[in-house]
Formats: sequence, C-alpha cells, structure tokens
Amino acid sequence: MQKPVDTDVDPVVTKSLSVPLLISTLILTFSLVWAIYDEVYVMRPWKNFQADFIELYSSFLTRLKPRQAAAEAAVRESPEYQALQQELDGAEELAAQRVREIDTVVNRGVTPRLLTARLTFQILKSEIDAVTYQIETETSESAKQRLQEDIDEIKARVVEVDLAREDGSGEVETLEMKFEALQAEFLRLQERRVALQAERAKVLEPASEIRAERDALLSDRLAGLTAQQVDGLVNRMENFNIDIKQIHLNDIDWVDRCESCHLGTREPVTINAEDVGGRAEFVSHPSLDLLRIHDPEQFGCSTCHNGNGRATRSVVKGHGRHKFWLWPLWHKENMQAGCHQCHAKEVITEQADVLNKGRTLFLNKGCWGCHRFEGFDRESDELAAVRQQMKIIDDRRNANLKEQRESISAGDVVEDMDEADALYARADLLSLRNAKLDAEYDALNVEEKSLVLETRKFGPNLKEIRVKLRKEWIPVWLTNPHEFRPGTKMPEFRLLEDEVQKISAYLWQNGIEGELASHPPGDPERGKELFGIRGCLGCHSMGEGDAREGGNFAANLTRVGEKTNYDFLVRWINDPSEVTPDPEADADAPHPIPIMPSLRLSIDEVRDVASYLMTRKTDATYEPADYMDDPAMAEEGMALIRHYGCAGCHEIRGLEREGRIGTELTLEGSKPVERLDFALLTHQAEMEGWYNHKGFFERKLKDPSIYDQGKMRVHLEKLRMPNFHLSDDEINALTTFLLGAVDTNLPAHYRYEPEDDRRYIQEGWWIARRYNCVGCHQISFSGQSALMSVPLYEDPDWQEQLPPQLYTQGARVQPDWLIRFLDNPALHETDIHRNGIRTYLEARMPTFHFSERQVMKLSRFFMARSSQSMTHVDPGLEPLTARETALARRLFQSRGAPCLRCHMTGNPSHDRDATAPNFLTASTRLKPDWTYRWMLEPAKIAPGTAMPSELFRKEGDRWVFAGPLPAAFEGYEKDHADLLVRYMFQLTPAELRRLTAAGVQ
Amino acid sequence: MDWHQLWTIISLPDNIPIVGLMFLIPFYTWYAFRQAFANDRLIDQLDADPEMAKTHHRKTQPYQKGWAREVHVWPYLLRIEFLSAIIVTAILMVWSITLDAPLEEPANPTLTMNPSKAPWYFLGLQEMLVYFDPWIAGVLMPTLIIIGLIAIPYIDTNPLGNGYYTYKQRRFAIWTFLFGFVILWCVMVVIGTLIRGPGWMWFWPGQTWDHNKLIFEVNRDLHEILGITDPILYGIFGFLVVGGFFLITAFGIHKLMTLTEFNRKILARMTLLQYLTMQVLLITMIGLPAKMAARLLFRIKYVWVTPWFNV
Repeated sequence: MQKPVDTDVDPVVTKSLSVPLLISTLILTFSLVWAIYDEVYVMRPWKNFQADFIELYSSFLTRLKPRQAAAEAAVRESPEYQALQQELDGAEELAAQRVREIDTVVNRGVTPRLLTARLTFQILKSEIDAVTYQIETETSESAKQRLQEDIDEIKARVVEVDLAREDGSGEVETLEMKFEALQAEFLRLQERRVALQAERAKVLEPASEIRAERDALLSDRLAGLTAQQVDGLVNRMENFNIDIKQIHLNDIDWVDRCESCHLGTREPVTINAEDVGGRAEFVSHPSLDLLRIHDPEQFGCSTCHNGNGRATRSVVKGHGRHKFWLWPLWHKENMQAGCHQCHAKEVITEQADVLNKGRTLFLNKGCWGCHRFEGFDRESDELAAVRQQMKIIDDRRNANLKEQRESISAGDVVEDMDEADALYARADLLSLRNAKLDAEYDALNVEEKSLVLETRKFGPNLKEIRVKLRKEWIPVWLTNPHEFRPGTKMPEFRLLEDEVQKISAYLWQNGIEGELASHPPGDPERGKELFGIRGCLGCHSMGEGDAREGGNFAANLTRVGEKTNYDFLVRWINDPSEVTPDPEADADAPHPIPIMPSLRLSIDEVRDVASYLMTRKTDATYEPADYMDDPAMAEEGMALIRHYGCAGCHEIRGLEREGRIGTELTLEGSKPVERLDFALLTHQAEMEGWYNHKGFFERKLKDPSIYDQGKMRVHLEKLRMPNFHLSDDEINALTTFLLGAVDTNLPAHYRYEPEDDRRYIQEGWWIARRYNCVGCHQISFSGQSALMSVPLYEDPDWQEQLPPQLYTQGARVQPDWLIRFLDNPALHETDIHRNGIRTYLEARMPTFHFSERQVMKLSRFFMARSSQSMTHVDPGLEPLTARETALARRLFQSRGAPCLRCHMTGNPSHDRDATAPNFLTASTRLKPDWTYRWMLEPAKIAPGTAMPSELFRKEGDRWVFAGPLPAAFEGYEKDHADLLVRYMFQLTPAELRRLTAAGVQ
Repeated sequence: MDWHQLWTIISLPDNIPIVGLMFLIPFYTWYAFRQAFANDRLIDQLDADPEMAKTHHRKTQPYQKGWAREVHVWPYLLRIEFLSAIIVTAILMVWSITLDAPLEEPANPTLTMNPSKAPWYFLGLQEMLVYFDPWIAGVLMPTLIIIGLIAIPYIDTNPLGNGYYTYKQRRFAIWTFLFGFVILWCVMVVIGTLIRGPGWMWFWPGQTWDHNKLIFEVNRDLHEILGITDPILYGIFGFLVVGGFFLITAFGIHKLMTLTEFNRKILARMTLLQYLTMQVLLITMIGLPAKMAARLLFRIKYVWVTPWFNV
C-alpha cells in the first residue's frame, strides 16, 4: 500500500535532489582522489622502495666513511705511499711553470678568440650554405648564375670582428676580415689550441704516471672504497632520481626493471642486509664476479633469474610467483637452474655447484638409462647417426658403381665417338666421386670404432650373471637393493614377490655359461692393505654407516663376499674388460666394456685383493631359489624386464635392442604444468601452493610412487620409476637441474656454445665425470677428490701419496706425451704392473680402455684448461756449454738443493723412498717454460706440494740460487733456474748415472 | 563442501558481472513487476471512471489532485539521469581501481586451457554447443535470435503498454521475454560460468573442480534407443519426430493465443505472415529447453540424424 502523501505536492516537481546529488558527487570526487592515489602510489610501490633505499643506504655510507677514511689514512701514511707522493710533488713542481704559461694562453687568449671568430664565421657560412642548396636544386641556368653572384657577394663582404689577443693579455683587437680570411683564422686557432693542449699533457706526463702508480697502490692496499669515493656515492644518493630503473636488451627486446627495487645490486660497496636495516631486497649481488662475466646491461636480470622483469606493481607480480606467469623467479635454492638454459652443453659449469651436482647425479645415478636427456649418453645417439650416414654413403657408392659399369658398357657399343667420350668421362667422374666417398666412409668407420668402445651401459653386464653371482642372492638383491647395500645406485623397484622370482629366473637362464680359471687363494691381509692404497677407494667404498670410507662413484663392497665367487673376482680385478665369450652374441652389438678400469695389478696382488674381498660378508643366509630354473617363470620374466626397463642400464641377453622406457627430460622444465600428472594430488597441490614444476619434481624424487596415491590401479599400471633413496640435498640438486632444463627463448648468441678451445673444456668434463677422474685427482681448485677424504690420506706422511693435482696439467706436459700416457699409463708394453711416471706412488693410474677419440678429447681438455695448444713446438733450448754443465751438476749436487733425494733416479733401492718423477722423463714429458715457473714457485702451481719453494731469489732481472752457492758460480751472469731447466732437458742416462755415482744422498 | 573452490570461482574478476547479474536480474524483475501491478490497478481505476481518465491522470502514477498531468524532461527527468550517471561512474571507478583486467598467461597454441570459456556474455552460446551441432548452436540459433529481435516490432501488434509498465496488457510479451532472456539466456550464462568446470563437466557449486574427474555418461541417439538401424529409416524417423515436435508446440502456442479474450483480439489483428513468423521463432526458442531436457534427463544425443546435420 502506498504511504499517505501530501497530495497537493508533486514529488517529481518539488522534491529537491540536492542531498543525493551532493553525496554522490562527494563519492565521485572521493573515487577520483582514490584513483589518483592508486595511480601514483599503490601502482608504483617501487617509489617507496627507492625512498627507503636512499635513506638506509645514505646512513650506511655515512657510517662506512670514517672506517674507510681511517683505513685510507693508514695507507697514505705508509712509507711507500709517502715516497710516491713526494716523487709526485717533485714532478708536478717541475711541470708547474710551463703548465701555467700554457693555461694563460689557452684560457685567456686562444679560446676566447676562437669562440668569437667561430661565431662570426658560422653566421657567414650558414648564409652561404643556404644559397648553395638553392643552387643545387635550381633548374634554370640563369637563376644558378644569379645565386652564384649572391655567394660571391657574401664572400666579398667585409665584417668587423672584435678578437681577443692571442698572448693572453686580455686585450681586444678589432679586425676587418672577409669570409676566407675568417675561415683561415678559425682553422688556425683550432689547431693551435690542440697543439697547446697536447704539449700540456706531455709536460704533465711524468706526474700523471706517478699519480696512477700512487692511486694503484692505494686501491691495492685498501679494502673497499676510499673516503672520496664513498662521498661520491653519498652525493649520488642526494641527487637520486626516483624513477623506474630499466635495462633494455635491444637485440631480444627484453626489459628488466628489477633494479627499480633491488637498488643495491650493482653498488660498488658490498651491502649486507644488516647494513640496510635488514632489508634483504637492497643487498648487493652475491657474486660480482658472475656479474662481470654476465654484465646485466648485456644479459639483463630475468634472463637468468626468471621472474617478470617488466612488472613493477607488486613483489608478487615482479617475481612472477603467480599462476599466470610461466617463468617465476627461481627459489633461492634452485637459483642455478637459470645457468643451465645457456650452459646446456656442459656437465660442469663454473660457479654453479648445485647445478653441477644435479647433473653429476643424473649421470652417475644412471637416470639416463630410462630418460633420454640430450648430452647424456650421447655416444649411443652419435653411433646411430654415424651408422646411418655410413649406410647412406654405401648406398651411394653402389649406385655410382652400377652407373659407372653401365656407362662403360654403353660407351663400348655406341657408334658416335663424341657420345662414347661423354660416357667414358661420366664413368671417370663417378669413379672419382667414389674415391671421395671411400675416404668419407673410412673416416666414419674409425669414428664408429671409437663410438662402439665408448657406448657403455650404466649398470653391470647381466649376461655374466652365471659366472659372477651366487644364484640365491639375486632375488634378495632385487627385492630391495638398499637393504643389502645402503646407498647403492641400483634403485628400489616396487616389485611383487612373484615378479622378483620371474625376473631372477629370466636373468639366470639367460646368463652365459662359462668356465672360470681356478686360482689358488691369496693373502687377505695383504689384500686389505692393497685395497686401501692402490686407489680402489677413489670409486668404491668399504664399511657401512660411520665406518664407511671411499668414494660413492662405484659399489660399496662391504658385503661383496656374499654375492660373488673368488675366481670371478680374480678375473674381474685382473682385467675388467675380459668377458665370458657369448656364442649367441649379435655381431654389431657393442662389446660390453665396463667403466671399471684395469689397475694393472700383478696376479699375486689380484689374488690377495680378491681373497680380501671374499672375506667381506655377513653370516646372512639365503633361501634356495629352485624356481629360477623354471623356463615358464623366465618367459614371464622377460615381459617384466621389458616393463621395468631393466635393459636401459644393464646388458641383458635377448633385450639388447630395448629402448628407454622413461619420458625424455631434455626440456622437462618447460613442459606446461598441466602436462605433469599430479593425479589425485592436484587439488591438494593447488591448495598448498606446490602445483608447479618444483613441487612436482621434489615430491616425485622423494617418493616416485607418490602420484599413485589413492589411485585404484592394477600393479602393472602403477608408476614404474624406482626409488633411489636420495637425500634432500640430492633432490634439491636434481630439481635445480630439471627446472633449468628448459626450451630457452634466448637467441643462440646468448647461449654458451663456444667454437674455440673452451669447447674442449665442455667435452672433457663429460669424460672426467663419467670415468670419475675426480675420484682420485683434484682437477679444479674447489673440488675434493674422493681419495682426499679417506682417513689414510689425512696422515701427513701419506699426503704425498695422493695422486697428482691436475689444475695446470695442460701447461705442465706436452700433448703428445699426454696422449701416450692416457692410452697406456704404464708407458711400457710389457712392464705394466706399475705407474708410468710416478712409480713411487702406491695408488695406480689405471688403464681405462679409452677410445682414440676420448684420449684426444681428454688431452684437449687439459690443454684448453691451461690455454695451451695441442701442437707442442720444441722451443729449442740453448745448448749447455761445458762450463754450464759443470755448474749445473754442482748445483744438482748442492746440499742446498738435494734434487735427487726426492726425485727418482732409476736405482731401485733409491727409488723406494723417492717422491718425485725421474728427470730423464722431463724432455719428452714437460714443457720447459712451465718447468721454469715450477722451480721458482711450486706452491703457487700446486698448493701443498712437497717440492720446496724459494729455491731461488730475484737478483735484478735474473733468478739466482738461494742456497749456499758453489764458488764456481763467481762471474756467471745468467739465470740459474734457466740453467737448471736446460740441464734437465738435456739430461742423458749417462749424466744421471754420473750424478748418482757422485754420492748424492 | 569446498568453500575454497566456490570462492575461487565467484571471486574471479571475470565472473563479477555474473555474480552481480544473479542478484540484479531478480531484483529488477521484481521491481518492474511491482510497477506494472501498480499501473494495472490504476488502469482498473480509470476504466471504472472514464471522466477522470480524460482529464486528471498521469499514465504511470495514481491520480493525485494538484499534480500536473505531465512534467517536462528538463529538468525533472534529466536531473535524475544525471544523478544515476554520477553514481554509475563512481561505481565503475571503484570497480576499475579494485579489480584488474583479468589477463592470464601468454597463449600457448599447443595447450588449450581447461575449461576454456568464452567471455561471460557468450557463455550462453557456448552452453548451447553442448546440445546442438556447432553450426546450429553457433550459427543458426544466434542468427535467429538477432532476426527475432529485429522482427519483434513487426510481430508485436499490441499497441498497449508503450511508455508505462503494465502486466495485464502485455502478459504474452512479458512471459515470452522472461522465458527467452531470463530463463534461457541468463540461466545458461550462469550455468556456463559457475557450473561448468574442467572438461565442461557439470560441477554443483561447492564441488571441487577436479581435472581427473570421470563421469559415466552415455548419450545415445533416439533411433539407437529405439533400435532403428537403417540410415534412411532413421533419417525419416528423425524428421517425423522433429516435425511432430513443431506441430505439437505450434498447437500449444496456438492454444495459448486463443486462451483469453484479450489474446484472441490480438490474434485477430495479426496477418498470417506475422503469425507464422512468430510461431517459427517461438517453436525454435522452446526447442532449446526441450533438447536440454532430452539430453539432461533422458541422455538423448540426437533426435534427427542425417549425413549433413544432426538435430
């Protein structure tokens, strides 16, 4: 019902709308103000960041300044600085008179005169230029003529100019000049000024040089900035412009505005969070060294770090941590994922330890057995490509031959001579082409041979199972390898009991039958000792839990005696590349050479070690496993082996050609998150914030069956990936690696794919990691070899027994020698049970059965790491004079430098205690320039070496022996170190015998 | 009940208009009806007193003495419109400040989003695709809708109701509108927005949108249910069924048109062409819910299957 109203008053006409209008207008005004505030502040949060930064950083600098000033004052008061300062004052004094003269003339004479002359000259010249343009564009000759007259008129005009006098007196002369004269004067003045300035610089040159030296001294001695430089920064903060700080990469149109908030990133002072009130966003980049290699002006920020470089509206948007930005900022622990997109060809990238660990795990845990990843297991890819190419060439060759035959027989029967000639010519051409194809084929053939040798499966060869393993042990191992051998690389498959039995049955029945030679037992005590010192621990480990020592590259041998037999161990340790002949072997299947190298032990040593290993067992009992001989079980086992992809890592008879069963991971990081199957955990992942690649990888690696959770699936449809029992650290490293495995959208020139020697470094690391060179050798300064952590080598006496460090191997040795050595580390055809060079080392450099290609790659790797070329040119050392020989001999025998006390001489009784190589090997092995540097400062090249430093001291331009000098050196003016190098490189066995006979200790 | 999911859906900037629409449409429908019923009472009053109708009334207000029969547009209408303009502007300002345009990730041609949804105003059309062939739901129906809207002034011969709200004088038009716009169009937009989840499957509000959800749904053609296998036979059969539907619906509409005296009066004024056009448009309109019912309740995929099109 309508309310009763005053019926006389029409509300439409009389009711005032002022109040609603006022209120809504106020609301509108308010929304307008809000919009402006939103636009200026809310949408530009970086303004507050910048204001905060200015305040915090300025106060930090103010606090920093007195500290730096004090440190600077200390340097300034040092005698060296004072001396330089005095020298500088003197030099400046000397130049002062002439500099003052020049300054007067330039500043008060030449420059003002030049400026006035130029002004008048330019006015006339622009007038002429304008008319000249008219002439150029005018079409009629008469008009051109008329305009030319105009120019002549301008040039003939006499102008009055007030020019300062050139002597710098400050007086002004008034001259009347025409255009030409003015121009000449102008040019003359310009030249004069340049000449004077050059003279001034020349006069001041000695002073500037001393000043540069002084400043260098200051910056050398002073950690951080000088007070003046700090002042400069304070000043910059005072004049700081609050605006977007942007990097624009022109070539890829990439925009990064990260530094609008992260203002401290590139400051020359190291800023820690506590310096700026705990604000982590203002700290400097943790590695300025990295920034130097990857200058942000060229590389941007989000190219490496990910995140949305353009977004400035909020932290979340800038970091791209929301579901619509596909490249969210890497989390701190995965930051190095960003390296991989450009360094995708490497297994070791400098300064990326987490990423390197991830890649190494991928390589050494055998992930590539199931998952293809470009670069890993490249040998089998290359082998397939090479074989394909060989087949194509062969087909072409045959086609050519056929056509050649046809041409000749056709040429024999045609009547026309010209036609016959053409046919014969064609046949000749074809045979020429075939000759070329033959050459190509041969080259590929060589490569194929290398590749066949290099293609090695990740796991042990299971065809040997019958000669190698204890039958009952197999099912126990398959059930849970980590129970038998914690930390083993063999992962735990979720096999049912009957699956274990069937798989064991197939493997057992498909092992090659073979006879092992029978060996008498050795001495286990001696074997234990040998196991510890021959270098087995570089790859293998022994003991469990806290008692574990050795590397984790290969198997832990604590219970090896339970699974194998003595005769097999003897054969295996003696030469791992020896296999039981397989009567059914496929002719082109690669010969299964294991990664395990031969240590070239003598047969007695082998028996000792094998005897020792056979004692390594517990009293565990094994159930009999008669089902393993049941052919029906084996048949079902084959399907299971296929299903679980065992042949990805192992040689298995009948399954030599099996492919990988896992998904390819080369670009896994850019797979759309929707294609990662979170299964029933999808919603939980979204709610808990791990519905992303990182969350998926981490959980999958922790528990590979996690995405089966809650699913009703029959056993064989469940996820197959086995559990590797990785530690959290390892999971993080692998996650980092997988996150970085992206299809980068950066152009090729951003990616690190060098064509020069640096390529060899990339390639070499693959071999060094695959064959675990780093188990025994320290190749990079930061890396620790596995042997270094073995307790035995922590004893100072044993440290000298560590295999040599290889930081500068390329500079040290000649490439030809290195190739020979890698091919045969004994450097001898028959006397092989020893090291080639360092026979005094108990640890043995093993024979790896490298292919030619691998040897070349490794040699190139070491050469490239030391910036050496692969061709070594004999520098042609100056021959020794008779006097020099005598001098050098004296020096060698000197008590101050008892070289032969440590270096080997070839005398067995002496060499027993030697700790350094024989000098006789120097001329074919070492590079003279390196040897020279080595003698001067061995500790710099190989920290911790037993070779004594400071054998020589500097005297003027030459090095002289630091110890007591034999009297005969009186008057010898040449470099003593150089003398020794020359002596060493020209040393003959006879000379060495003479030295030793002379009774050196 | 998955409140998080529900909140995710209704708080999406995309869906704000729909959430608003769910409240505003009922409100304005109610408001219009209220006005219409008030006018109907006035009309009754004036019918009873023809004298008063001639002199003292304003079409949309009950008679009040002292009120002018008509008022000027300026300032009385325009000031109200100005006020609304200010309020709407303020609302739009606040809206645009608080909610950003819903931009998503860069498009990936190899990966379509799931569910992929059209802009909210097209969701009704997209929902129709579930029930009809693309060319019917995407081409024929929208064309008919536009043609129908254009044709309304030529079909609607009822002169009453111009410039004022009334229910009694325009019952047929109002119900047609409510059915066509509110029930068919708006409800389908709401279904498309709030109900259809991954895989365009039906998720009740509060159900989790699970990408892995599987539903058992076998839709069969009518002739399969009846066991007709010969293509010619079931083509003819489908034609008969659809034709039958047209005839029955036409008969129903005709019944409606002749139900009351008022309707009959209107019908008498229509030409045959007007009448047929109206029939075709209305039958097509009713065809949509009929097909929806056939699909959702009886799991019938198509009624009429031919090599060229399916209905």
